[in-house]
Amino acid sequence: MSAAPRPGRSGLALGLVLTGLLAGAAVLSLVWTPYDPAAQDIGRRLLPPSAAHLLGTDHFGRDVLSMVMAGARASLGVALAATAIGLGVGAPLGLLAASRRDGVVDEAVMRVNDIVFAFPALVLAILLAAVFGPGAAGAIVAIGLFNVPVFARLTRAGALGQWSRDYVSAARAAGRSDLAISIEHIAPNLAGLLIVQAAIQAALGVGAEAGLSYVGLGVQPPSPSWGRMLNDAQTLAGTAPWLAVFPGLAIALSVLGLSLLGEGLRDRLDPAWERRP
Amino acid sequence: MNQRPLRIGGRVLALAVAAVLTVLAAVAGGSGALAAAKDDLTLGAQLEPPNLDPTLGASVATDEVVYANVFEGLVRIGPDGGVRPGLAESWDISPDGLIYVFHLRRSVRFHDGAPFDAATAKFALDRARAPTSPNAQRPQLAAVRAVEAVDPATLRVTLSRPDGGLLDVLGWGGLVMVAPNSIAGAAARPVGTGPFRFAGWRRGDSIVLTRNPDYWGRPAPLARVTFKFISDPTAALAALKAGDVDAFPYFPAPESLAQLKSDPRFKVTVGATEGETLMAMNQRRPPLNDLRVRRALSYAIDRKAVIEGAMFGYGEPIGSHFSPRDPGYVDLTGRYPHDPARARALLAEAGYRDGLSLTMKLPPTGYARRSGEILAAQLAQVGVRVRLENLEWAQWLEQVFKNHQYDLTVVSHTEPKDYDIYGRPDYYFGYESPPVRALLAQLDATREPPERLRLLGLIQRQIADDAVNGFLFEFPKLGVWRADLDGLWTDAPIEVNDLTQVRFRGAAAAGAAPSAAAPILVVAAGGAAALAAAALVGLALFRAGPAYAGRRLAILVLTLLGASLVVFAVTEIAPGDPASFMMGLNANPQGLASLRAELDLDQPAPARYLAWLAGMAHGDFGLSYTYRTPVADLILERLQVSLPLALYALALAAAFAFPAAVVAAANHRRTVDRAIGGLTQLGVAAPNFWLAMLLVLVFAVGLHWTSAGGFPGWREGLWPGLKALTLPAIALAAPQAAVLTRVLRAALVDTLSQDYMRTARARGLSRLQALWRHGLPNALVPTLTVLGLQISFLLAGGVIIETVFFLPGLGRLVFQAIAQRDLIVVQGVVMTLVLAVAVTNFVVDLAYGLVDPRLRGDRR
Repeated sequence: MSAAPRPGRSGLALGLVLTGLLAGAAVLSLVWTPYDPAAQDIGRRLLPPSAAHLLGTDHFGRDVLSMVMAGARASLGVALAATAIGLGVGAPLGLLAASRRDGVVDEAVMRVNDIVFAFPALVLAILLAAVFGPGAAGAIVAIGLFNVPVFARLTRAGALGQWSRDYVSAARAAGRSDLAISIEHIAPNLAGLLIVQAAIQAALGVGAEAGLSYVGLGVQPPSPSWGRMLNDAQTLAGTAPWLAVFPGLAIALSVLGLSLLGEGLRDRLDPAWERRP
Repeated sequence: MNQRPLRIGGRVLALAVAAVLTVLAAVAGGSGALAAAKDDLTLGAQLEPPNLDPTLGASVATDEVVYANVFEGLVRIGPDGGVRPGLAESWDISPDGLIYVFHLRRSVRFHDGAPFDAATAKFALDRARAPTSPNAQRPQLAAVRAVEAVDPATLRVTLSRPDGGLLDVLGWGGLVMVAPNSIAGAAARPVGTGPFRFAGWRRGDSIVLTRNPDYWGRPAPLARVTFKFISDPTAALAALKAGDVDAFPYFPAPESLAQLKSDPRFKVTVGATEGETLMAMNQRRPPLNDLRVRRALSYAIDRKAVIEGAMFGYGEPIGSHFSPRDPGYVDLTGRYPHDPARARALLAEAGYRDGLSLTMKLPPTGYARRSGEILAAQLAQVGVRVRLENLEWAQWLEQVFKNHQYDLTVVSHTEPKDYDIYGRPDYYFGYESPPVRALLAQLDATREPPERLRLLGLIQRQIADDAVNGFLFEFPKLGVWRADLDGLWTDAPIEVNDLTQVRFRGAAAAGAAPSAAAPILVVAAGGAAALAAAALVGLALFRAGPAYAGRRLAILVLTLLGASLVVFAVTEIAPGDPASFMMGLNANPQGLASLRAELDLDQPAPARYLAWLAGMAHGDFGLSYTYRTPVADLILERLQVSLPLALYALALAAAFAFPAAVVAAANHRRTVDRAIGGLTQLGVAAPNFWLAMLLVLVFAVGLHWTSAGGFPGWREGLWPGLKALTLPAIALAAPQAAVLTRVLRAALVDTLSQDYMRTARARGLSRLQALWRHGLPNALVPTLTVLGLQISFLLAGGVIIETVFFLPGLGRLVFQAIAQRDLIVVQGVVMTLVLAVAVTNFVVDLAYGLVDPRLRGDRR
């Protein structure tokens, strides 16, 4: 299958720049923001963008730029943690499924995958919020669980390909156990594939976190969050449209950056790799 | 893979089109509302009453429904706060102020036909002042020594000491006239003497009253009143704009008032209430039992900023617990000016030099949540770290009001003249002050107005000196209603909705006809989907052999079983007992036991799981804990919105993706291709709810082409419904259209190198024509998976889009259910979505098996 328009070097470069901006804002916000993102100044509320407040102020007089910067932390944090869960649980499951010849484990893993796959991340988050109350932890677990089958399937497919290679046969002949082969030989060969997928899942995670926070199931106040900023902006959108524009732009650019990064890396690592939508 | 895929693709498409057409036809068939003179009113209210017996407790929400409408007192309070005759036509007071003689109206009957006379009045008053009575007005009847029925139309009330406030109190909600034969059931079926009768209650949704044709006085102009409960301020705005409610007399969203004022459809009023809004401090536990800490917090509060930020400038600052409308009011707002330095000094003096941490538990009202965020920031400036905790009302009542488990909270005290709560150490903020109690006792014994005012002043000062609470502002009464509606109160001397004089000017607008389209629509859609699925299964069996189809079916069943187990197990470990949550403050052991039995909660978990599973197998999802209606009905009702929305979005996504992908592929690697590629990249990245907000900004707020949200229902006809769903469908479709375009384009580019394409080009077809005629049918194969998966994404993703547009779909149902801990509804909705995803996967797998023989590994 041939490619969608190849983002090529420019796509990868843009992805790197946008992802760098996202990570930079998140890190920088730890030590510096133009204003304290939590500091309210009711007298200066709902100000449109100006030199003093580049992105304006919200209904409590907080500086939107500072909140967007601090919000990058929540977004990136939740997305990375969720990706780590997906990778940490999914990849070993995929390796295990591929390493056992009898197919019983394979079948079991794939059926569990089917079950998890039947829950859209949002639905899972709703369920968790209903039970444990809303919060960042619930969002991480929900998005993370959604990531598990993705990594499991990918790892399994990749590992099955590796098992038929000669060097694996050689290792088996040398008496190495399936487990040892999986860890020593197969996993390193899948690293590139998994890194690429991790970037793409992180992109999805940023979007999912925003959605969950928007409906009140994600990061809770007073921690700044892009999704909740958009929710707060909703009744004020008529009078203060900048409140609705900038957090959304931040989300869109972050998702775009991470997915361009992932796709660009995929092209670099393996030009022949089948492109996915 | 020659012609075969083409035929299958064609069949699937035809079936899909048929399904959509059936739905649309059903919608159209169910439309056609009846036009009628407007004498039914739908009134929005933020709080649903826990019960409808106003003599039971202190719920303002109960009075808002029944006061003056269903129940009447001997006297009543008018819109100006003055006392007016009620069931007593007139009264005489003895010169010493100790004997009140009421002359009652004759031939007054309760809604059940029981007569009202002096004996009934004696019963009602004696019942309210009995030592065990939970009546909110019992403390104010302390001066009453005896109530006697002199004759059927004359009631004598004798006092042990003069009480200047007695007539006012008799007009309040708790002292309405109730009959001995009907009062026991009044919590669920109130029976009064008023101009409206209770007609029905859909818990969690609405209460209906109808005109009482046998009313003793002038009958009410309105024939029917529906109280609709909408707790979310943004949803309240949407409900007004969408015409779901005609009036919101206590409008909870001050931020939207400016927007509504400029809308000629509405009348906006700003009046006064008796609601002192406080940052209450729990004095039962340290550190807030320390006067210096409380004073420090009082100095830390900037009232002006709270009123500006939380109420958008509406609301009058107060310095003690007293209404500025009252003649006895003393302005104490200068007692604790905003002074962070003094606050820090006082904290240091109290031993909190390094600051302290407190928890603020907030009820679910907009003003409380916003005030809480502002107060937390203000307190942080003096070194007090505040952890905000947002609660639902039932939790707030349980934890804060009843069990004193909190440090700070924000709440408005709406009862008039309620300073007596500062004489009750058992009250939730736990203020214990002998001087104030002595002053309150002295006040009770005093009749001369000047002396009463002096005492009231002393009480206000003492409360302020003791910094009992952070006194914020007097709550404004913000009312919004249709411009053609007359007779609602502007001020709220007591928090009620007196509907006796309310009427619509002229006979315009159509009345709401019950929707007949609803069930037809869902049945039709479900039927079409089932038909399509059955056809596929049949085809698959025929073409792929039973082994393949059987294996896919087994996987489907296994997946559903596993998912149901997960859903059940997760909700099983949820903390809290649904039964005690439902009963709230009225919980008692016997009631709980019987409710648990009624809900089958007393069964062991495996038995309940099997029962739930067995029920679902034949469409019974159980009974909603809060609504007390079948969950399946609730879901079906909401599917009327969610399903058409998903199908509409799917149609839009396909309508964009097919031409775009063909054009992109035809211009492979040229500028057009790259442009479409970039656009789809953006489409995938932009979150759909953000896109939705931007669409609202441009098309609803900017251009006024469409309303900003809400759903008129299908009863108004096909067009208004589709119009309301258009922006949501576009927002929902955009990312899916982008994904579909990318997949389809890749598949089309693939076909470019195929032999049949070369043949077609050789026959003289242009690249575009060749792609459209020959490439597209073959490219459908890999697209099928994506297309199928999108149906489930669209159903689940719609949950968020519904929130943006305030559509009454599955999303709103499930979020409401979460707030009310109605776990069985959450279970039902989640299983419905899981079912949709799993069945779609199954169908797609089957279709794949049909199309690609290599996948049918079992048939060799």
